[in-house]
Amino acid sequence: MSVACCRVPNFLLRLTQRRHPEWAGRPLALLGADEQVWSVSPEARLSGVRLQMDARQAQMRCPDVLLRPLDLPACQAEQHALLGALARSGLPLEAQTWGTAYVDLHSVARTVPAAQAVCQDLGKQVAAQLGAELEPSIGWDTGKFTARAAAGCAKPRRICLVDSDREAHFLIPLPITLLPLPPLTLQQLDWLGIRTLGQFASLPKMEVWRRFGPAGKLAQQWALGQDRRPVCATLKNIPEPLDVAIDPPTAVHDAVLEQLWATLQPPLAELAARLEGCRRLRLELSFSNAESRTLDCAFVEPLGAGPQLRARLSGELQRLNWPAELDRLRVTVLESSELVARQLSLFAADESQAEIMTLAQNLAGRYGAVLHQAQVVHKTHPLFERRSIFQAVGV
Amino acid sequence: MLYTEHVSDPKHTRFDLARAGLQKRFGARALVPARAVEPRPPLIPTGFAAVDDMIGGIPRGALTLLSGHGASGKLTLAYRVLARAQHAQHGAPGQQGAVGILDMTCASDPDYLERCGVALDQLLFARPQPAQPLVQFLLDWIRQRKARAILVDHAHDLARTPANAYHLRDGLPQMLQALAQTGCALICVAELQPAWQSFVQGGVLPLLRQHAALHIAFRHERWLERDHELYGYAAQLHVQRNKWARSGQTVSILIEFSADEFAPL
Repeated sequence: MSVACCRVPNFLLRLTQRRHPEWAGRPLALLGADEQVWSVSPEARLSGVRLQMDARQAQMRCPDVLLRPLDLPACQAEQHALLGALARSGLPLEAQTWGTAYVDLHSVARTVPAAQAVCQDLGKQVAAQLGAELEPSIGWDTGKFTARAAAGCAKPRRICLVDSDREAHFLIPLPITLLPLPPLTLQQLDWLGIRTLGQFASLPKMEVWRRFGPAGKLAQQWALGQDRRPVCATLKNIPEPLDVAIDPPTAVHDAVLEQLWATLQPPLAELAARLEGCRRLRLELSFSNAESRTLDCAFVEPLGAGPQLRARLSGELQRLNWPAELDRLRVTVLESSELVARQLSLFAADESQAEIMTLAQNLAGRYGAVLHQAQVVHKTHPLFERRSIFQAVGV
Repeated sequence: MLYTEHVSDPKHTRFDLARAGLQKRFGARALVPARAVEPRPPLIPTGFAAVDDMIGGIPRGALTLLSGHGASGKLTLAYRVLARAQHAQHGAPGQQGAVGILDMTCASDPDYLERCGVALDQLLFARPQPAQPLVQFLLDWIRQRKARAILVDHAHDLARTPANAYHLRDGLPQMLQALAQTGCALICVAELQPAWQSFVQGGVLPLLRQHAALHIAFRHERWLERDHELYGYAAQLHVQRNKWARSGQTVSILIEFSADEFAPL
């Protein structure tokens, strides 16, 4: 196999800053239609603003943050432009996430010199299409994971080619957080002192399988540079909708949510075993007065079966105006894609805050949410309890 | 018999005999060989000039006990030490470091901490449940090597349950070792309790006093009043134990509620 990964880091943010240069250098958070943060500037990230926070949370973390709505049509147009520029080569193409796509070079380039020429062409096409502000970096390898890691390591307008001979050598020192493993698994590995891909790759395979299941086994293969996933077109066959086993007619939100969550578990587990998450969901609700509603939920990043997805579904169901009692509910996982690793950024994080977060996460794994950070919010309040707020960290 | 290797040297024999005689008469610590004296660890200044002149500061990598009744200045001094520990140049110049408070009373006031100079973004509050293994938690926290100083407020809660009391007795030597290895300063603030309560609860204070490298007892002296309004108080500090210097000294400090800096009397 021969795969190139083209990546424009912080695609949404840089696109917005290109349209509004006056926002550059300021703490900025872009809100999606769901009122959640879809993209964060490094300045806001330093103050603790994270993806998928709601606007209020972001403002609590960083009072000076500029909260601006994301121009989704414009971003989609640029994403299509990026994919179009890559597709002009006529090679199979797979979009991974905003500003990232894989190109299958198997038919045209299998050696480093050949791949270099093709990657240069691809890079020039993308740079010409997107302009100077959205400079891509390109990684190339025999597998998708290593290609993506190489693209993450390369600077903008640069190509990082990883030959199969030095694949293992390239992956060994990289942090294990490049693997899209669940946070709990990463925490357990951190407790065991496994912090690089090399350390993870050298673990006994049987033990990894026994402890972390099929997802762990797959992740270890990736860490070894053995990623055999083919590059396939993003548009896949839409699966059949799943009927949620509710007791109709019902208007009890919690019961519906429970059943919906239970119904989603098998497909999500299937996706998790492939280190993938749900990117788009469709809920079709039929009510007893013959009305029906359809909800399309698109997520900032692919989500696994975690609290974020559950909270999002709960929010969607609560926001919806139910005209009558619910008769029938169907759910469809419209789109899935590879889970996003926690650390894949060219921007250096605030080291001292990162230290605190690491410490809090390490201790939270063993003792729960016991660590807090405080913020003085009302300096002049007569009661000292009201002057400040405490927020749990590391959970 | 102990000094057989020096028998051939009458000068050494005489010195050893004299030392043994003095040690027998005045105790083993009356004369200590220079090589057996532990080097003085780096100190964190307290921000009170009088206290710093007297003891130099709070030692890193050791246990410090601050005891006294309420409103005697224990927490104020501890907060000032945390602020200075954050700014102490440990890594890159100007880089702040993290400190923590084991806040079992859940009564810490971030506003006052900020006024004492503590940067809240580099401060972690730990609020575990009393039933959790507190000593083990503290030990894990220290071993993470990411805290320059940890304040335990207040120390009696470390042994609120029988299991925790047992773990404290058992785990203190390990904790001291971890402190020495990591260079973290552990500051325990303890209220003085009546004798009967210490007897019933097993007494955390004697245990901490035994293991503390520095023990300062605080005493409220008087309130400071101006135009019939209280604006602060005077407290007296008595160094009850200091591993690296003479103990028994006393100093008084003024603590003003609205002042940014504190002045010695």
